Amino acid sequence: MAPSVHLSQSAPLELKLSDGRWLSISERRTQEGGVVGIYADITTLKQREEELSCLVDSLAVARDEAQEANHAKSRFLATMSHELRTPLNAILGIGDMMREEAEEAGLDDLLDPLGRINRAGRHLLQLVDDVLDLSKIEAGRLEVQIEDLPLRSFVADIETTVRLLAARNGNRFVCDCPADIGNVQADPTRLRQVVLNLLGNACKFTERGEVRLDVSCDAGRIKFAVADTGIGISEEQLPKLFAEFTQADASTTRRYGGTGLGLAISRRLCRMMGGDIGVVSKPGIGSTFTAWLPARPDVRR
Amino acid sequence: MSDASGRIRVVYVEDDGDNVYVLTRRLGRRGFDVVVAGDGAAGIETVRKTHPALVLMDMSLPVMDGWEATRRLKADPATRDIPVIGLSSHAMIGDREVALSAGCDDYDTKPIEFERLLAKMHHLLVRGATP
Repeated sequence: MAPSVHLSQSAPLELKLSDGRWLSISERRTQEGGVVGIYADITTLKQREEELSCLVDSLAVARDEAQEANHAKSRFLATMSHELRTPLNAILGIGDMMREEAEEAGLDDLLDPLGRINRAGRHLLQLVDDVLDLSKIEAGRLEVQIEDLPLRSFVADIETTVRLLAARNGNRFVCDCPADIGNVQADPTRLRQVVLNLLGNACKFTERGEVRLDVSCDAGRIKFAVADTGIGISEEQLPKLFAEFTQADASTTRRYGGTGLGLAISRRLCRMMGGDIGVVSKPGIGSTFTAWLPARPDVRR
Repeated sequence: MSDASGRIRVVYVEDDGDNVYVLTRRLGRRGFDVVVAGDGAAGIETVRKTHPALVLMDMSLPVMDGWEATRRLKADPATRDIPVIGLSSHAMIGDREVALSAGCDDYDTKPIEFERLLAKMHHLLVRGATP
């Protein structure tokens, strides 16, 4: 039954027999000049190997399919978000126009409902914008354009915007940025989005308190610390903060609005720019979100 | 620059009917005479014919987009001094830079904040009036 073949000492020969079984054959020479042949039935092993290689192939196919489906989903979202914006812009424009004309015509009863259309429309627009951003990030189609950005004028611009925002809830806004702070490596549009997101949250969750922006440079990192004296976040809620579509809890959305996507997007943007965001918070005392980015060009990029 | 009744003429290049409706109506109530063109090529023609005080140019347009139309207006000595405000949906980042590099004098995003747009228009119109 064993085929007569000459074998090298090291590599066993594997043979498939006519009945489908597999044999492994190896030979050793003995000191006396004889030969010892070892015949092992490796049929089960071979079957497992084949099963495994089939599994690897089908996993690769499944992975490709999943990747393609993911890209298709992101393309769909990006296109849809764009298509959604056009009619939404029309609704907002017409609503705004009607409010102005109602005001001029003294139709005061209409001002409140028209204002509600406007607020709901803007909320929807923010959602669409956030979904668009997230789908672009996931599709790998959101590019950050890192440049050497002078911080003083960047922060001054943000200060102007946030002062108005802070006043809405009766908050004091304090902004501290050293004169010699220098530059940061960042995409100006995206960094602005991140810092405004953190400050917007701080203003929203704080009433008649204080919102601070402290910009500092420490160990090669530019830090944007946004501190508030607002409602704070409990320890259980903290880990969920940066996940998509998660606010601390559902009632938060009802009471404070927002999309629950802002922090998830901000963290991903920071990471794309070589930095990150962290948070410390005490319920009832306030929260401090710190975003940091490299101060100097990162040699790895 | 302006029609017989002293209204300030503005060419609005836009292909979306609702946007045209809203801005034409609102600007009309604020003393502007709005002439509308539906694509970039028609926009250039309309600007050459009507000599407006200012152009509002949507960036994504059929036939010829707003970037190209602005570039051509700014390359022509007859139209280059007419201020152009580029308008676009801010879904695209970097739009502002592209619009300004095409020669737009200013840029604004949709949804249009009417008072903000009006302030930009006034700024450019005053600058044009007192060189």
